[in-house]
Amino acid sequence: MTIGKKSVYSPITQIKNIFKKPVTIRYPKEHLNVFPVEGVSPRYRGMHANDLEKCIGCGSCKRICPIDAIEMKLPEGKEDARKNYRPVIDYGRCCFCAFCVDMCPTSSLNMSREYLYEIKTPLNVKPGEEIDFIKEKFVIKPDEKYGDNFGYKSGKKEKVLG
Amino acid sequence: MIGTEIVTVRPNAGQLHRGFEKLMEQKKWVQNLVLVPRICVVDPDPNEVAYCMAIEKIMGVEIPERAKYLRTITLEMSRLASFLFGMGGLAASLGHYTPMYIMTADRDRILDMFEWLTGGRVYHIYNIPGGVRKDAPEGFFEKLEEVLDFLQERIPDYDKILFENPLIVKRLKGLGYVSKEDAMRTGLSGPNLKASGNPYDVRVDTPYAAYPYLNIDVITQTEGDSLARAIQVRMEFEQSIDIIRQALKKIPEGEVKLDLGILGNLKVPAGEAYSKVESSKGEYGYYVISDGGYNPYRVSVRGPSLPAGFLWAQKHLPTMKIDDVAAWMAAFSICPPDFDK
Repeated sequence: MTIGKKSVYSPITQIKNIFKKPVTIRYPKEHLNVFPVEGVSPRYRGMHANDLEKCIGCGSCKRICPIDAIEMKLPEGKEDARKNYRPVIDYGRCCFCAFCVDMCPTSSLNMSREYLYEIKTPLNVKPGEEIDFIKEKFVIKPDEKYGDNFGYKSGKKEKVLG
Repeated sequence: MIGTEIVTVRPNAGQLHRGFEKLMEQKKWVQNLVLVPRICVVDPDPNEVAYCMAIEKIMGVEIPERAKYLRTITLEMSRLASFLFGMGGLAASLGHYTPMYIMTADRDRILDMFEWLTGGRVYHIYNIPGGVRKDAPEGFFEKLEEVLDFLQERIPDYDKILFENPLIVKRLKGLGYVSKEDAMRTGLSGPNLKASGNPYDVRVDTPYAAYPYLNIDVITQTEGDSLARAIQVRMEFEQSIDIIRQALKKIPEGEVKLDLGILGNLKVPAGEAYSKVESSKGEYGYYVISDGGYNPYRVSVRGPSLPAGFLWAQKHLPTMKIDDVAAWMAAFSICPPDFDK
């Protein structure tokens, strides 16, 4: 490529950019308008949503998880049987690969389009104990909380891994 | 160093992400798909495709046609995103921050497309042994065409602001010269090899996925310096847009994955295979050995940045000014996890 001589007026042509809309969006007030739905994409891999009635406690999600983020825990007040165990996810480790969703045999575990998780540290927590406080809060048992906002789903017809 | 001039250079690898290959021996076949994209963050799909292709070669299966085209489209989209980031990084390393902002904003449109297709913006984890995870959603291809048109319109702007900019041309000209024979001998690949005049492209020489069905010309430069490498990337950027357009026209209907049973418990028969994929930085090769179990016996990764990061760093950097090192690295598109793995 050769370097041509620039016109004296070439800096002035950039004035047209004043009338263009900015690329960025003002996030909490505006949302992305790229996809058919407002906000993140309809297939977004966000936080998990689990239908606790449909879940059979088989532990497929725990076995496929590449980083051991999932632990099967017995809810309080339930008898100790395998079907009563439910997955609990450590979001400090989770990499949102959605293999657990693909493996779920009853498709009870899905991913939602939610990605914000706010932790407010109370003022009485000392700085040294703050890390442990946040660590505990990151371990979440997915339930129907995000059930109305599904993202990456794996229906029975479109089984990917299992 | 003496003043701002470099005297000797000793590359010291293993400071970023190391132990990939050993870690892969302890995970199941499918679980490794989460790990391989981390080898190159800006261009993750070539790793996934190369790893999956090696598994498919050992198993001796052929993936459906539509999956091949979807893989090609994701590979080229990944190249586009990586080129934009690379060109922006080159501009930023020379102190021109405007192109970097423009290109990062344009790259975001491709990431949006990835988010729609795969669910993730950076780590897509879209390819699995036997095809791809999901079919493209409705309206995706039309939107992708719009994004490609937008990027095509942007190219004259990039030329004006970056590649025809006298300051950048003067800084890059003659920096880090690699002759045609040396480039071949030291194992450079991708845009770095083609910028020295060697017409070698994995997509053309040993075609994979849907590349046998598409028209690809091998673009080469003759100069072999950093400016030639930068212009080579700019030319391949335009070519990638054209390849996606061709693939979008020819994509057939049908299945997107093979039924290989429960992939979580996949057992690959004993054997070994080497697969290679052209990424934005060069040739990614995966040599996979299976002993018939649930885990790979050995996975060896050939990263494209190794010759540039190790050999040419020791040859080029002495007698170079410290200000030019960032530009030299960006023009070679060196990705440190490649040789840390």
